[in-house]
Amino acid sequence: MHDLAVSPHTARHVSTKLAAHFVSDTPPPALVARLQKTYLDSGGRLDEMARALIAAPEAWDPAPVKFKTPYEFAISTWRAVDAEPSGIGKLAPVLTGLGQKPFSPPSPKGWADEAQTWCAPDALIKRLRFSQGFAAVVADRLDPNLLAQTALGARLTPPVAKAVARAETRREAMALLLMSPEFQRR
Amino acid sequence: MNAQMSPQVSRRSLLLQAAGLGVTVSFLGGSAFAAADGAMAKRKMVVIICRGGMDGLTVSPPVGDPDYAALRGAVAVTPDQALKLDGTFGLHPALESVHALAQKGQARIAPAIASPDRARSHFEAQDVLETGAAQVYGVNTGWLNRTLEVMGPSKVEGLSVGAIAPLILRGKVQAASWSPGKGVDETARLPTLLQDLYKADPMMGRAFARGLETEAMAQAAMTALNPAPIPASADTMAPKAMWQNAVNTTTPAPQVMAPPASGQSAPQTAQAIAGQRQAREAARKLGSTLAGFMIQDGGPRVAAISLDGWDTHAGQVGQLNTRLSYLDAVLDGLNTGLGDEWSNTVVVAATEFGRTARVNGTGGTDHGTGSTALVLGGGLKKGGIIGDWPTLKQEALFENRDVRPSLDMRGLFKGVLVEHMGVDRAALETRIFPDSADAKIVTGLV
Repeated sequence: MHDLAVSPHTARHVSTKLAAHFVSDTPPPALVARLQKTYLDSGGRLDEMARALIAAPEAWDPAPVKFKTPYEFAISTWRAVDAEPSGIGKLAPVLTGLGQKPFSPPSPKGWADEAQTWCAPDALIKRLRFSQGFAAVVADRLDPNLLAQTALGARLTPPVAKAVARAETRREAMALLLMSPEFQRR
Repeated sequence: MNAQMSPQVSRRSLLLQAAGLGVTVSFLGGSAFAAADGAMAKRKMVVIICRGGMDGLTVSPPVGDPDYAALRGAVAVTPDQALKLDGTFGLHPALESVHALAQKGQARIAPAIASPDRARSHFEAQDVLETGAAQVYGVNTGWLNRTLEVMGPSKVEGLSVGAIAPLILRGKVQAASWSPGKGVDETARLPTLLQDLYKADPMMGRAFARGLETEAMAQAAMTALNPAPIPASADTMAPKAMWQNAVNTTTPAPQVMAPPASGQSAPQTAQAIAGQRQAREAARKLGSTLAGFMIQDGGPRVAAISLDGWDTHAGQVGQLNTRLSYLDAVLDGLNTGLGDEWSNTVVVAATEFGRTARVNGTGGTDHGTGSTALVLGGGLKKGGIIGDWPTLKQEALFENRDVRPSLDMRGLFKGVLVEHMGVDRAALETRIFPDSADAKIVTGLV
C-alpha cells in the first residue's frame, strides 16, 4: 500500500482527478504538475493539495468552465434566490428528475465529472422544465436584472444580461438566467 | 391549492375535465350570489393582458394616416389587407371576429392608450398596468383584486386563467385560478431565446437542439395517440409531470413546451398552417370554457387572462399574425360561449406599452409607448375610436419615436368599472386606482 501511495503515478492520478473536478474537464498540465509535486513533497497530504488548489490562479479564472452536475445546478438555483430546499423530500425528486438520483451513483466510482455526461439533450430539456417550474414559483417577486447580477457577478455576459432585460415576464427572465451557459457552469 | 378546494370546486373541476381541455381549476367556493343588485349583478368583466408590448399599429393599423406606410415599411399592414373600421383605422386581417363585432358596434379600439409608466421596461410597465398604481413599486396588489374587495368579496368571484394568478388579480381577496394544461403556448418563446443564447456555445447548443427535436417527436407521437383536443391524462402520462410537481406542490409548473415558435416570417408550410389552426381551436376553446364558468350561477364575474408573446423585436409580421389569430379566437370563444350574457360583459385587451412607430432593421419594432386597447362587449354603445388620435406626424410622435398616448389606461378601466360594473366612484379613485385623479374617467362606453 505504501509503495502504491508514494508512486508518482498515484500522485499524477489524484492530482488530475482533483484538478478536473475543481478547475476543468481538461485541466491545465502546469496545474496538474504543481499538484503532483505538492503530493510528493508532502507525502500525499490531501490538505496540502487543497491549499495548493486554492492558491492556484487557474482555479480562480472568472470564465466558468465546469458544467454543473444536477446537484450543483439545483443547489445553486436555490442559492441564487437566497433560499434552500426545505428538506431532502423537496430536493430528492428534483435531483432524480434531473438524472442524479440521490445516493445512487451508477457505479462505485461515483458520479461522472465531465460535461459530456450532464450536458445531454434530454437532460437540458429537463433542466429547462425545472427552471420554468422554479421561476413560476419565485420569479414574480424578484427583480430579474438584479438577480442576474447577484447570481453571476462578473460572469454575467452582455448577451445574457440583454436576454434577461428583454424578457417578457419575470418568469421568462429567470428561466433564461437559470438556463444560460454561464449559470449552467461553475 | 387542492387542499383548499371545496366540494363545489371539485364539481366544477370535473366539468372542465369534461370540456376536454386538460385543465386544472381551483375556484374559491363563494356563496352563490343572488341577484340582489338587479341588472348590475349580472355584469361581467374580462381583462386580457397581452404581455410583451403589443404593437398597436398592427392591431389597429391606421392605414389612412398619411405617415403610416412610410414609417412601417415592410411591416405595415396595407389598406387592402386591413379590415376597415373608419377612414383612418382598420383591424389586422387576423382579427376577423373582432371586426365582425365592430361592425355591430360591439367592439371599439383605443388606438393611443398607455399606462402612466414611461420606462419602456416590461417588468415595470406590467407592474404599473396590473397594480393600477401611478408608478412602479407603488402598490403590491392588483387593481382587479382591489375591485373585488370594493365590490364585496363574498358577492363577486374572480378567476384568472394561467398557471399562476397574474398580479392584476393578486391581493387580499382569494381569486380562483384556472390553468389550461395544453393549448396555451406561453412557453413557446423560451426555446427560441435559449437557442440564441447557445449560439456561441456549441456543446449546449447542439444538445439543446437535439433535445427539442426529441421533445417535438414525443409531442407528435402523443398527439397521434390522443387526437386533439388532448385529454387531461396526456399530462400525467408524461413521466416528467411526476417529478416536476415536486418542485412545488401548490403551484402547477408550466407543463407544455410548444415546438419553437412557428409562423415566423418564413413562408408558411402546410404544417405551420395546420398548427395555427390547431392553436386557434385551442384558443377558442379557452375562451368558451372561461365563458362557461362565468355563466354559471355564482360563477366568476371578473376574470383575467394573460397572453404572452407580443415582444416582436424581429420577424414581427409572422409572429403577430399568429398571436392576433390566437387573441381573436379567444375573444370569439368568449363571445359565443357567453351567449346571452355577452350583452352583460365587457372585455378589455390591453398591453403594457406599444412599440416604436418606425420599423427596425430586423423586421420588427422595439419598446414604445402608446398602443391599442380593444374594448368589446354586447352592451357597448356605438362610437368611434376611444380617445384622440394624435397622428403619426413626426412632431406628434412621443420622443420622436412612439405613438403619443392620448389616453391613460386607468381612465379606460375606471370607465368600465364605474359605468359597467357599478363600482363606487369614491372607492375607485382612492382604493382601486390611487392617485389617478389626473386619469380622466372614460364615459359613454356602455
